[in-house]
Amino acid sequence: MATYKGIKGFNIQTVSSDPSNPFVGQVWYNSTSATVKYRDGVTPAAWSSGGALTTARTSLAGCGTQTAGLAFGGDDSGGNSDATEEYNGTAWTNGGNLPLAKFSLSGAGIQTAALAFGGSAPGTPSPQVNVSTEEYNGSSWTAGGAMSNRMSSGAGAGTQTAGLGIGGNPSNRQATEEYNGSSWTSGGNLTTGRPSMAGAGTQTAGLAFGGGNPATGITEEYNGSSWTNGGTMGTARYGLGGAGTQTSALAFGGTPGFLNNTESYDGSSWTATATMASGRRRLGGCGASNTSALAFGGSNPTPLLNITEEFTGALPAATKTVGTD
Amino acid sequence: MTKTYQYCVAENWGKGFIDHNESSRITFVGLPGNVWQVPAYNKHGNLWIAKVAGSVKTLAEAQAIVSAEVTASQTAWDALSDEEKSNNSRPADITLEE
Repeated sequence: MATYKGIKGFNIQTVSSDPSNPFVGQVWYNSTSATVKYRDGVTPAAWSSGGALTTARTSLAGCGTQTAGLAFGGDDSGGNSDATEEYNGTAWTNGGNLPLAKFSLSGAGIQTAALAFGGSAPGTPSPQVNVSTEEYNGSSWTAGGAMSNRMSSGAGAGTQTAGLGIGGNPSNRQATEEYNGSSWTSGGNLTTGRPSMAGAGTQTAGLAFGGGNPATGITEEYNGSSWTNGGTMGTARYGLGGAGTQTSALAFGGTPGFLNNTESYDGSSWTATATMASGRRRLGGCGASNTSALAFGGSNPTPLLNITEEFTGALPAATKTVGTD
Repeated sequence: MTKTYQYCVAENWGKGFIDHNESSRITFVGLPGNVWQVPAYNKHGNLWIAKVAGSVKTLAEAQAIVSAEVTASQTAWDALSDEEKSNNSRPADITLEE
C-alpha cells in the first residue's frame, strides 16, 4: 500500500497547534484536535446554484444582495407578473404582490426598502404603467411618485429614497431621472440613449452598462449630474443582469444568443471572470459588489426560467481539515 | 474518437446543486431540457453527476432533448408579433459537441 512517506519522501509532521504561516499544499497532524489538516490554495471565483424562484419568469427586476435579494414583476406563464419574491441566501419566499403586473420594469434599493418603476403591460403603449412607481417595505408595495416620462426596459440604481431611472424605451431614451422618496426630477442625459442595459451603484455614483439593440458594450458613469464614458465591456450585450457599485460591478448573461459569460468592473475596466452554468437573457440581477451577486430567472431558450445562480469572488487560501472540509 | 464532454439529465433542485468548489474546478453548461454538459473523463464531473443522480445521455440522446426544447421555443417566437420579435432574436439551434 502506498504511504505518504513513500510518495512525498517524508512523514506528515505532528504538531500541537497549527503552523502560523503554512504554505499551500502543506499537510500536518494536529495532536491537540486529533485531526489531519492541510493548506488549500485560492479557490477561483465561481457561480453556484441557488434556490429556484417560485414563479419562473423573464424581463423581471431585482434589487438587494446575495443573501437578501428581491425579485419582482416580469413576464410569466400567465402574462405579466405581479409576483414578488424574497431571497434569504438559500431559498425564495413570496412577498407582497405589486399593485400593477408589469414586465421590463426597473428596480432599486434593498429587500426591505425597494423601488419598482417604469415597465410595460398588455395593450402597450401603456402610459400609466410606463411612469408608475411603487415602494416596498419588506412586506407590501405602495404607490410612489410617478416618473416624469415613460420608461420601459430602463436601468435602475440607488435606493428607495435616492433612486436613479436610466435610459430605456421609448425611442432609446437618453433621459435619467432621480427619485427622492416622493417625486422624480430630471438628471443628466446618457451619452448614448439605449434600452435593456444594466444599472448599479448610487444616485451620485451610478453605473450603466451594456444595452441597445443591436448590443453594445458601452459603460457610462454618473456623478449625480452628468454621465461620462467608462471602460467598454468585452462582450457587447443587452438584456443582461448587473450588480454592484460604480467601482465594483458585475455584468452577466444577456443577448445576442443566451450569454453565460461574466465581466467584472473595477471602476475603469472590465475583466472576464467565471461563467454562469446557465446562459440566459432578460434575467434579473442584484448584489453588493463584483464579488457577490445573484442571477435569477430569464430565458435560455426555455421561455421562462426559475434558475438562480450565486456569484462569489475568489476565496482566499485557507486551512482545511481532512474529512470535514 | 475521444470525447471532450459528457451529458446528463438532472433536475436543478436549487442551493447545493452546483456548489462553489465544483464550479471552480470544472465548467458546467446548463442546456434546455435539464441537460447538463460537463467534461468527459473527469473525476469532478463524474462525482457531480453521481451527486445529482444525473441520468447519463449519449450525445445523440442529449441533442434530441435540447433540439426539442429549442424547436418549441422557435415555434413560440415565430408566433410573436413583429414588435415582440424586435425585442429578442429568434432562438438559434444548439449543436452539442462530442
